[in-house]
Amino acid sequence: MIQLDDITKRYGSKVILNGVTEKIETGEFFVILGPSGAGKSTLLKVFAGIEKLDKGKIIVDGKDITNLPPEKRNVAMVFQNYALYPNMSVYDNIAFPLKVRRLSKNKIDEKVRNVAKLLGISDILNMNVTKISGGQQQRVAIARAIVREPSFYLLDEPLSNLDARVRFVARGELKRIQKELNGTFIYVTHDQKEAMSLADRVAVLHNGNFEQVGKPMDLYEFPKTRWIGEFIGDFPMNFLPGKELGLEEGIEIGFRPEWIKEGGELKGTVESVEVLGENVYAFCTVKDYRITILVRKTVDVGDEITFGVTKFRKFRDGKLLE
Amino acid sequence: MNKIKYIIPIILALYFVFPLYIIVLIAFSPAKYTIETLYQPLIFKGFTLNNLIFAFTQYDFIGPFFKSLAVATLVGVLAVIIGIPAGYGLSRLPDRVAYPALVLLLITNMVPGLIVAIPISAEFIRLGLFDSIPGLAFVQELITLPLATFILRGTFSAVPREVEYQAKIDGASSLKYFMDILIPVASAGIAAAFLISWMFSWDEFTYAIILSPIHPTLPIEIYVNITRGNLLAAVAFALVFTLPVIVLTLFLQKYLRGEYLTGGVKA
Repeated sequence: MIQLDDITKRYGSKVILNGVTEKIETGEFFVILGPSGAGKSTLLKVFAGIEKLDKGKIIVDGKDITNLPPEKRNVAMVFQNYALYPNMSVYDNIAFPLKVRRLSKNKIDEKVRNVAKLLGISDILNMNVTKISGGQQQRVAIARAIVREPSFYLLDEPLSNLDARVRFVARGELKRIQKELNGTFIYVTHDQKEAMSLADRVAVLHNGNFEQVGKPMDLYEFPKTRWIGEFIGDFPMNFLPGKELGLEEGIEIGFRPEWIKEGGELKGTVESVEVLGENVYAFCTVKDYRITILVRKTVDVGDEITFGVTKFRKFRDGKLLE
Repeated sequence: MNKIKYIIPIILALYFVFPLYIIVLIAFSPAKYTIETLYQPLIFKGFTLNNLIFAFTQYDFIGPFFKSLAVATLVGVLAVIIGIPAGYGLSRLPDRVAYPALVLLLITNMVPGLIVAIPISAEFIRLGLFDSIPGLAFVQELITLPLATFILRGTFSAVPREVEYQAKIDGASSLKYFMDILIPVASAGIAAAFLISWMFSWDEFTYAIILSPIHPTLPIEIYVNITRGNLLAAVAFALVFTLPVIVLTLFLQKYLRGEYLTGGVKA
């Protein structure tokens, strides 16, 4: 179990992390999600020991590692650009953490070959890492991370440099590997789709703190704040003043594009349309508010649509009620 | 247009190779066709090794040659040994700090050599470094070390910071990271820094003539022979003088592409 206690990090007068506190269970796939510049990578570097903390503690399995240098922490990391050692072959890259730990040659060989088999890179072991494809480089980086048994794994957007199709496959594979190893994965991404499909729990980093931590579906269904509602989901959550639906003053309602039925008390004008397979999303203006809804029929720009909200959450001052 | 593309480089190449050709011509032709005639032909009319044999047997060539070799090698080695930590440090500083530091380093290159050499020679006599190999190497380092540092900083800057983090996370000490990863990755830049320092020292003149006049280096020896009228000896020495440069350049040419300034590292 990893305990984060009041993690605080400043760059000059700029506060990047403002007292992050959370517990991450052993064997959990924990995704840290946030827009770029939110401090996700800084948080990961804090875990790794590359960045020093201004305040706070990191406790792993009861042991305080806050002031340990990276080489003494026994963590593994996969960087966004993979950070492979360009002067070494695939084999030597994977073997490097073991060589540093002075394992015997036979033991190293056995481990490297096992990991290579797990990741399907046995046939490129002797190639130089600069001569293999991006997808293969990503596997080598993961292989190097899992070849030893670290107390936890840190992954910094490892899939973002892959093209869409490869990324989809790699995502599934990553989840499989995590389950197979039963490892604690801390995964950073700005891609909420990735977060939703990989995570046991997602933590949304905003303004230097975890604004909400929860299961992916909970984040979608019950966003704690208006900001999260807009950030999570393919399309932001829609917000309307409560009085549009006859609710009391000061309350906002939030609803997802698919939480509506056609025909109802609200009327909007279609501004633009996005077709995703069978689903048609219409971007409308209702009074002065911009609303995205899911419609089953084809609509044209300029059409008038009436719809009713079937399910909604209530917000006051940008925070979820109840 | 297409033809011009070839013609201009060929003209330029001829222009640069021509002096070398003249040296070869004089070195291997009997003197009666070259320095002893008024209208010298531009083609070989005869072939002889006598000029070279004469030059190398009558004059002290070995001494200056090895002095030059020792000084140049020392300059190259020192530039790399000091330039690596300096370049690494600068590569890890923010640009707004690193650039002024680099400019400051390069200022020594703007000061005329004579102005530096004369006060230094007085100091060197006191220190016992005058006319010595290390003494001359230290002074030439004034020019080459900033250049080497500049090249190496570029090389190290091209190695992503994450590679260093990764090595640390993988459990490597700073020394292990340096020896196993950074130095091998930066080998092209290191070779370039060495070569440039070595070649600068090899034909450096101003410092050499002021700081090492008694046991001169090869460029000084050639100069002395020319001024004394020993043209044949000068030509023979000049020929031998260019050979190591050609050999070294061919040997290290794969590192000598413009990209060494930005590192030439692909990660």
